[in-house]
Amino acid sequence: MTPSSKIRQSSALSCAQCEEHLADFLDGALSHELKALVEAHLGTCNACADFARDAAGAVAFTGRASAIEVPATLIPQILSEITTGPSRVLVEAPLAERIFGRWIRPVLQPRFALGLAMAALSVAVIPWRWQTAELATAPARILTMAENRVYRVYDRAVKGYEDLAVVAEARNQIDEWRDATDQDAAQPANNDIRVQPR
Amino acid sequence: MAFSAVMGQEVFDGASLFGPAKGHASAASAAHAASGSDAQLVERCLAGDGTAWQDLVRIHTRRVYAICYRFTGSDADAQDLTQDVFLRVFKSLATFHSATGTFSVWLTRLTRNLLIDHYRRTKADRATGSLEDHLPVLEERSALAGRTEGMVAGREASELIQGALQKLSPELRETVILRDLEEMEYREISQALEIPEGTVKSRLNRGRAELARILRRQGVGI
Repeated sequence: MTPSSKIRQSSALSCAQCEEHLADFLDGALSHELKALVEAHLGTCNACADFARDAAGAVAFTGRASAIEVPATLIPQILSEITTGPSRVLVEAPLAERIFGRWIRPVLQPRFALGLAMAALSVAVIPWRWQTAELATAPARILTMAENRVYRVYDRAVKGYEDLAVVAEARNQIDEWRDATDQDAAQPANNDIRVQPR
Repeated sequence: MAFSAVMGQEVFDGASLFGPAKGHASAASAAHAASGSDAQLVERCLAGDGTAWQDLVRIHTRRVYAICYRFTGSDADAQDLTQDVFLRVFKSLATFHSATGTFSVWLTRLTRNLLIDHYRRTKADRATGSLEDHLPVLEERSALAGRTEGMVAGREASELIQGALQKLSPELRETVILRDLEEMEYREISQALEIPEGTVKSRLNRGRAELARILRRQGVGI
């Protein structure tokens, strides 16, 4: 059941219903039936009549107000913001769009970023894969590289051992010097001991 | 006794006073055509067309400025807010989707949100200045005493409405501005303010009645 049919059944409006239809009544947008019901209510209810009179008076008065004029400097100020101001970058199309056109826009959306990154990674991996494939087909080269690696490890081990020997020799020398110094320091103290005669 | 007989048929006959005469039907078709051209304009803006951005600013600045000026009552504030609105548009136009409403409604919602922010920010200033606000009313009352509504029109009526609007609550004020001064459809106001159409009409009735009472207190015959 529509609101209009409900109202028709009751054949009289309450104050709340009258207010509900007042805006449309003032716009002249009500059906003849509803308009008659609103008018009938306004004819019997002083409070609603005063309310409606005020509302209608305000509408009539605002209808006579002159339009607001925009200050002459306002539009140029706003336009300067996008022609020479900091907002210029906001309204210009991105570099990629200027070069490739608008069709590139969906591709540059964040949801495609991961896909692009994966594609770039795949492209970057291709040379490494080629190198691996080349090694797999050249056993002699692999043997040479392994041999070089073994020599390099051996040389490092020898050098490490020699370094350790030098360190041990230096340490022994330092210990000897320290013992000699201690003995020299203890000698005069022994000479100072006197045995008292009984 | 018929109500129209009490009030005068010319005042309360909605069709003769506000209906087709106000041009809502033609305004609706014009708005539809404008929304189509707005959608194309937005497309061009998003494609980086500089002239489209300039057209967008030229077409919509008057409406945004008018709403800001009617709401704040200050030319300087309205100019600042209008620039803020367009800065916001430059940054977030990509978030506008024509499927969810017209560009005009989207722009009105953006403007309204900035106005509410401004209203909250300046609440303390208004509280300190409220005593001074009462002084000009006395002068206006004496100056306008005995004048009939028919004698007040144009710029003078606009200034009187401007003063009265500042005394309305922000909810009632924005509804009256969007409907009676910017002539938006109820559906558009509902979308812009994000409230049901019934609430729009209820606020509009209360706002209009309150506006009439304020104007009458200032000596304007309503």
